[in-house]
Amino acid sequence: MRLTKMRRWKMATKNVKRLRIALLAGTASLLATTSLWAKDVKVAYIPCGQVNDGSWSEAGYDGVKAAKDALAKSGTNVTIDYSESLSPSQAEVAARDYATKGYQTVILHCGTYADAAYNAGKDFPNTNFLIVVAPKSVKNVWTYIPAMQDISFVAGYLASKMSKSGAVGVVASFNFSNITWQAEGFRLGARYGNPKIKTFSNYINSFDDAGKAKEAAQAEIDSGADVIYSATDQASRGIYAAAETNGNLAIASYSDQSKLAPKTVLASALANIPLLVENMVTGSVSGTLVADKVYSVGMAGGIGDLAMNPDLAKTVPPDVAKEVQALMVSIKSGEIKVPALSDPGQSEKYDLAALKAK
Amino acid sequence: MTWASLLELTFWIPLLAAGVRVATPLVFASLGEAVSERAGVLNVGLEGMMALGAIVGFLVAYWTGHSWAGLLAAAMAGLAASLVFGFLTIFRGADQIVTGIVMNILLLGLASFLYASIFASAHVVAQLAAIPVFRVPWLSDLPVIGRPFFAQSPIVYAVYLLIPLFWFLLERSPWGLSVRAAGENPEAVDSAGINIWFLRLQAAAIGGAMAGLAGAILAVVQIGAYVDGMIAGRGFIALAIVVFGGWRPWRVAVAALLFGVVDAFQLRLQVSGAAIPSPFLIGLPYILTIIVVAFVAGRAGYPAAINKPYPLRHFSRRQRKPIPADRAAIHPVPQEHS
Amino acid sequence: MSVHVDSAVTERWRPFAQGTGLVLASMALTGLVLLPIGINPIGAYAQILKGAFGSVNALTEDLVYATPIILTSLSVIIAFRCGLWNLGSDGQLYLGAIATVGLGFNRFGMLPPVLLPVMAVAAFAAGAAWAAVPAVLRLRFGASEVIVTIMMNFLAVTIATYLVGGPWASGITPATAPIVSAGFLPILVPGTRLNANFLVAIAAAALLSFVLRRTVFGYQLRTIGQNIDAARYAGMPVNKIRFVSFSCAGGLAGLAGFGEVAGIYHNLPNGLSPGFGYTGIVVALLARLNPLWAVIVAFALAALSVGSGGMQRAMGIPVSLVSILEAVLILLVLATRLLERRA
Repeated sequence: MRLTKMRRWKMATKNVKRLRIALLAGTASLLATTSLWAKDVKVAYIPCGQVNDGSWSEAGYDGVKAAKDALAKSGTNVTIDYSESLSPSQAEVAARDYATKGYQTVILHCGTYADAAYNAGKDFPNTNFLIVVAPKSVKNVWTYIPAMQDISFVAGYLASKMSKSGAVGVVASFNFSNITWQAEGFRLGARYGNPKIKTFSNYINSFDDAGKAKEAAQAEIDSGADVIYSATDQASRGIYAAAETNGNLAIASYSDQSKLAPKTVLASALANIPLLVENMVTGSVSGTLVADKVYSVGMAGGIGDLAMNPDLAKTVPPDVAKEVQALMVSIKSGEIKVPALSDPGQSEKYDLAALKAK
Repeated sequence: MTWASLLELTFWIPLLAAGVRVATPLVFASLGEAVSERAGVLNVGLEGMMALGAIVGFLVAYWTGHSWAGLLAAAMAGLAASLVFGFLTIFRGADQIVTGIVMNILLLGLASFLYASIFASAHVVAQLAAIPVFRVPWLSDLPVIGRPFFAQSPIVYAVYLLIPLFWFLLERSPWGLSVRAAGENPEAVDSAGINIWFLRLQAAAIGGAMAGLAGAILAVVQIGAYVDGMIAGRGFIALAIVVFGGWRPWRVAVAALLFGVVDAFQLRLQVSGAAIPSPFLIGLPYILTIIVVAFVAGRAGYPAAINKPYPLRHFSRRQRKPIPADRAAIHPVPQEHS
Repeated sequence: MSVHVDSAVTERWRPFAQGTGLVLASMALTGLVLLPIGINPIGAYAQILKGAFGSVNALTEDLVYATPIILTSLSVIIAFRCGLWNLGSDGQLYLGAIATVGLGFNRFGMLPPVLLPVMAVAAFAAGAAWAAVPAVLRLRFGASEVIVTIMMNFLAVTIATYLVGGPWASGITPATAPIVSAGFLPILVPGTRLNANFLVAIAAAALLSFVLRRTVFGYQLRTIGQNIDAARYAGMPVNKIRFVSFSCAGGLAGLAGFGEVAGIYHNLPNGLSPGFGYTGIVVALLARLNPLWAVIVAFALAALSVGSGGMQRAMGIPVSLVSILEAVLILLVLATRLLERRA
């Protein structure tokens, strides 16, 4: 059994390779006809984890690939290379190496690589460095921040409306600013949906300890929570396992994960990271990024969306679905401003009236 | 939930249940390691063997669609890894701690490599169906202990069988007697006509198989997915639990449960409104282990012959070279146990 | 006479021949995992070489990566030499880094020439203090230092994570706020990351080698490691020497943390050490507990790691391949008992 599967998998990869070669040949011949104004650009992608993690790193990779397709239309031929799962120190080595080899843009899609980006940026002024969730943009280094608190707020709102027990919870990886924004955004959104709701949060101090994430989710469920939001990376698999065992709902983060637990993942709070990365890469390659601008983009800028699980969408009452839509419109228009709260528990004391104040 | 509710049973019963769940993979790994250490083989490579068990168990369960097949394959994988470990440390006299650390590097790398190269090209994220909870009739209705101990995944009930089995094997069977002697006084075992290398290899193999199972329990039974880094130090924790439990199966199981409860407690305290726990709360399980190892278990100490290769005399087919005397200069081994 | 010289020459070169053989064998064995995924192992190894030695930048990166490994391996060596296991150099490294960052904010307004040395001394002291705990528990209460140091590693990482997210948070990146620029270690080769801590590591190796070979303390330490009963019988202050050497082991690992903060990151990032402590143990073994050889072995393993990044960038092979290669090589070394024969 194992052997045949292996063989099948090998054949599949072979076919993919063949297809790839055919496609390459196709593009090459196409380019040959338009080569007068075609431009070749090399782009490197350095995420925290692996490009197939079904989460954060894969989302960024999808964005880079989308940028490649978009740029191909304007006659720019982009080659993508990537390095996975590096320590911050190794990431800087990789970034410098790409820069020496003449890569036009290096995308560092991991918060811990900020210093790598700034340091390499200083020494290689001819390469653009894009760094996710960092404090500043300087010269050839641009920061992009998915303002996840917006869509987390919507997720919290939806959770509060779907909760029968009057309690919801979030399991987050680390108490680090942008992750905490997400967790607190969810709790605030839940309070906005139902001021009497109880909200719980857990920090498990790991991105990939699925076992601990499961127990954290179970702890919240035992305290009465019946909708759990994930603000972790791969550890989220444990959250779905806990929710599934107890017949509760979960809301995923970053990418659409409803296939992983079709009866449990009600919705996924998309960071639209692919879109954000695509815009950044396209801007960098075509030279349209604004100098020293930090691209902190929330729902007003099109970053953050809710992907409902098609199997479970019908369980959402129509008026709730409408309210969620209305809420998303008012966040996009700026009518409601979701704050970035970086202290766990801060959302409990936040004045809900202040959301609409200018 | 408020701080006052910490005094109520509704807090403690689910906490105990959580402790049992957290402890389950740890009990598997540490029971096996207790046998191995009793025979004088300290396996620091538990973490890697658990990771290997997790990936192999997951892949086999995913390909065959049977969780039990995955568990079996994981046990075999752990066993195979421990044979490599045993060959080096028992037959070749390599240092156990160094070999264990290298096994960790190898197996963690291999697990990560397998997952990346199999699922990277296929571009799928694989998920197994969760194994449902099985409530033991009558027992699960018992007050207080019913829910934590008898409304769990079936694998937990296997633990209840394994603990007395390991106790009998180690402390009541003739085999256990020789194993314990191999760890305390190998010369006696050797002169009694028992092949001490083979005996130690058996003990190490049990340890490896149990570590493989432990990893697979985490991946196949508890999560239904493999995630790189999911073992997250549990192999090292299991090593501590063995010392904590004084190398005796019952006490090892209790130590694992205690560890599970303490770990679950800190997660539950966060839910009860303690904003973000101080590092000392998160580190509580580690601090507790240090204290127990230092002040409770420390005096007993490791089996005397731990990490001491035995130069086989009586039962080698041909005359083997004894372990060179200058080995001590290369890997000095802590000699005395005060 | 000439026969004698010849045999001496072969004796001298034998370890190198054996070593080369083992390296080739482990490359062949590791290649087996590459074949099923349709990758030519020779091409992969060529890329590792190119990634490690292909440019000035690559060469300096080898040294940058080797620096903390040299220090953690020295830390392991000094403890091993007196018969104790230091599996805790990772945690001691974190403590050194925490002390460095804490002082590096320069809240006390120290003058630039004072700041760096104070940071280094504090890092050494913090690592030593962290190591003193398992040392005392072992020497006074008989607690296994193997278990206690591993637990202390977990504890150190927990504290570092807490500081990164809590009191010392920078605001947005998962790292503490940066230290003042007066606390940056000088760069040795402009345009690279090679910093003065590399020289500190080399000096530490030379000093340790001298202490072990030429001083009374070193002699006593070695005697304790070889035969503790004889050392006791000879009236050596066994516990005192073991305590001092284990604390120094922690201090050396603390210096590694100092270098990572003051020389590379200029803050304390989440996930500072990718297991430098465990690599240090491997290096100590391969170097046969010799501090000077540890420098060379650390450089070789660092080059392998740096080169693997190049391989991944060029061929898309997961970096974990290098862990496998490294481990297979060492297991072969252990299996052939190469290290245990006197060359």
